[in-house]
Amino acid sequence: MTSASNEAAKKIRELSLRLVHKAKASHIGSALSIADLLAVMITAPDIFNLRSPDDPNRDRLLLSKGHACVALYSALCIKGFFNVDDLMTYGDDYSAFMNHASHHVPGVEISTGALGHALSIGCGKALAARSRGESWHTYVILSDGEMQEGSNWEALMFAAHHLLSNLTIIIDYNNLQSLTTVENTLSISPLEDKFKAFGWKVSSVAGHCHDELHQSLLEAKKCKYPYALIMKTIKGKGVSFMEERVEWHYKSPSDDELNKALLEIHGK
Amino acid sequence: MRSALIQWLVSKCVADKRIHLLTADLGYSVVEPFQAAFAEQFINVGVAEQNMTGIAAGMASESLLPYTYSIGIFPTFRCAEQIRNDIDYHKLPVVTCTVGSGVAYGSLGYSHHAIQDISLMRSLPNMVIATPSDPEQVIEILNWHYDNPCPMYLRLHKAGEVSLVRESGLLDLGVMQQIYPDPAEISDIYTHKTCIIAVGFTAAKAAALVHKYTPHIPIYTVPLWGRPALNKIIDKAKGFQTIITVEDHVLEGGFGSYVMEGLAAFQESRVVIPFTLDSNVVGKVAKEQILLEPLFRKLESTLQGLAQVSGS
Repeated sequence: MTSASNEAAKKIRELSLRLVHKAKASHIGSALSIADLLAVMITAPDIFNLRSPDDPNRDRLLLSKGHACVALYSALCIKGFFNVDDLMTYGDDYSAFMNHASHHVPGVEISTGALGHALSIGCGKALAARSRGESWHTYVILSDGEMQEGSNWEALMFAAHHLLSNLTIIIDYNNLQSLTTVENTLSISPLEDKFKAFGWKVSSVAGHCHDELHQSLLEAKKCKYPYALIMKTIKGKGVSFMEERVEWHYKSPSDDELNKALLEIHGK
Repeated sequence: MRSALIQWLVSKCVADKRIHLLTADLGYSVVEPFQAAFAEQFINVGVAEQNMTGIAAGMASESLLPYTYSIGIFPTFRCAEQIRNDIDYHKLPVVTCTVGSGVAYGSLGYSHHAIQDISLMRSLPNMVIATPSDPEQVIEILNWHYDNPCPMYLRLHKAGEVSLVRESGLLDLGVMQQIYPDPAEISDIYTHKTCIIAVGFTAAKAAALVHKYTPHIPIYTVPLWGRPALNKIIDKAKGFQTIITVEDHVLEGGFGSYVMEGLAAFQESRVVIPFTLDSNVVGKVAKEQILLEPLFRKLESTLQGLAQVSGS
């Protein structure tokens, strides 16, 4: 774990908590689940080249699980694409920072919210890069429950058939979806075997270990096949009373809960 | 019309490799010329319309020009959310091309009848609805879109459409083109009390009836319309007291409804007489001409009545 990614992860968690608290918004558990992934990505230019949202050679990151947008907005704020004051308009009427990922926010490639969309779009982007001989990479972050969407399996077949080696997907496998666990809702197991059967290179990684994430993402970027990274995570990671609790898919923290959560995030 | 589409794509792709044709495994004996000439720009995504539409959105977001192709209902209703969220909301210049408008695939059954597709597509705020009435208009529409990239729904009939004698001039959003008799008799006899606006391939049949019974009533095609063109269409339509619309679509959400809604929204009081497929066509399986017969029979009857009313 690098100090830069560690600090970025803390900051993403802090900003995400402040945003949902301020806007009385949902989905903080989902955001905390991917905070470490985003922290590693934005601090590792060898994995994720994103110097400017307008750079045609930037790597593309699509957040298919758009409900976790506060984590993405926070990461992009840390990158300096907008300031904290702009970020804090999140949830305001007519703000660009809507409660699902919005392409009106600098650095957000596409708007999402309905699940099962971004992987197909990612395939289109990967094709476009390849057709022009460009070297940028497309990453798509999906939720585990989202793998129940049939459109994702259409796209998985397509990417393998067309050998889209410039495409990496990361599945946030925290095993909690909207009402209960994924296993109790509609099992997606054995996910690794399914990806292999669909022609993807696949690996599993501890989703809160920065070193493992970095190593796996590097491997994914260099791989000659489309790559699926199954990221074993804890929903609500970093805040003890939110971890693995389905209600934090919906609740926003009270003043006291925010303060307690921030103390935990900063290890106090 | 579908051959015109493919010919245009082939000719355009010679100089512009941004063009890509995506099919969801349909287009036998139609798409082959493009596939043969531009294998790299042709993608058969398999039987997967949601994925095809998302891929097209992704390609368009990276400055490519994708054209998706399938039979009427499949690349519209099956993937409505992808069109709504990924294409229309992001204002991406994907052209959703469908063949078999209305009941062109009459004997194939309801699954293949594109009779509510306009209703879906015209509810999208950025979507231009393209309903060419003859093969030449297909080309004009595609040229317009090439110069004015935007989300567009290109609704094609199947085959055998005749070329119309139409008003010349540059096609543009909301511009209606008048159809003249063949041989052309362009005159100033036309009334400004009543007009007929025919959607897509119904224009040829409607024009034949109009020119037979009521040659003084102008009949128009409506190549490019939809929500972005509403003001312009209504501005033209309100110049008439009575507007007769003709389309191979059900009333609900179709072009006639579009005109009525638009006039109401602009608080313009006009008479609109929509000729559409009856909703009881649902589930009926027969040749297209049989399924369309009630529509044109009613239109003919109305025109005969108008012919007897002086000054209509």
